[in-house]
Amino acid sequence: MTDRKLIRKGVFVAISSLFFYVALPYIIYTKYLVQFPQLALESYINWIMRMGVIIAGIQFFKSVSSEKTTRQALGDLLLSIVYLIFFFKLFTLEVVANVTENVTVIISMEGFIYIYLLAALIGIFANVIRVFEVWNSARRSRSF
Amino acid sequence: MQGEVDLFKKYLEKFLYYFIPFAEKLLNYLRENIFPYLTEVTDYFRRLSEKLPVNFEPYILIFIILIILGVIVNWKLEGKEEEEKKKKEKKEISDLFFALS
Repeated sequence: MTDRKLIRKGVFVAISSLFFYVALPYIIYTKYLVQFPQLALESYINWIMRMGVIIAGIQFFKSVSSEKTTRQALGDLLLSIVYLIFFFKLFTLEVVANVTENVTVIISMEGFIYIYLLAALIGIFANVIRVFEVWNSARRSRSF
Repeated sequence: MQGEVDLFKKYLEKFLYYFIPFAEKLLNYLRENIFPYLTEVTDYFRRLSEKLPVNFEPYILIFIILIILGVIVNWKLEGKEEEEKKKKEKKEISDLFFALS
């Protein structure tokens, strides 16, 4: 038997993630950003949508588990790894803006890569420790 | 209200006055001592991000797999815990009634 309360929570979280990562960028792109063809933002939006689908799935997996369980900690770990790949992809992409016929500006966020990588690696390390901590505490409580 | 805004601005200026040189020092330290060790990790992620599929189908497949996995985990573990909790509660209530009678 499933825990309906948690399933409902998971569905809500997954739908809201899909809205913020897939529907909203798509609406913003097709309604507003399409009017600026000189800004090539299509790849940005596509990557946000692609990774957003995976993030929504992991959010569902995380939310259907009750608090302080190994599976929720595992969901957090997966989420931090996916966020790292997602932001890494975004930072390595370049926005090419054709200002005039002769002037082209390339906007790159490569400078953020190292600082974000450092922060994300520390976060992943913390999540790995948390998985073991939660797993160990669950094992201990079971043995008592 | 204006006085509060001015006070906030004053504190913000003070904070930035001390924070910006500290942040610059920290960034320089990271650039010299930590970031060179991260180049291999960066290269690995660069290769990985280049290999990521461009189609939507694999991502949707992963999403569906995660949803199914979540439902299975919920069904196998959470439901069981919930049932055990309910059984425990029922047993406690029946014990209480037994003790009262």
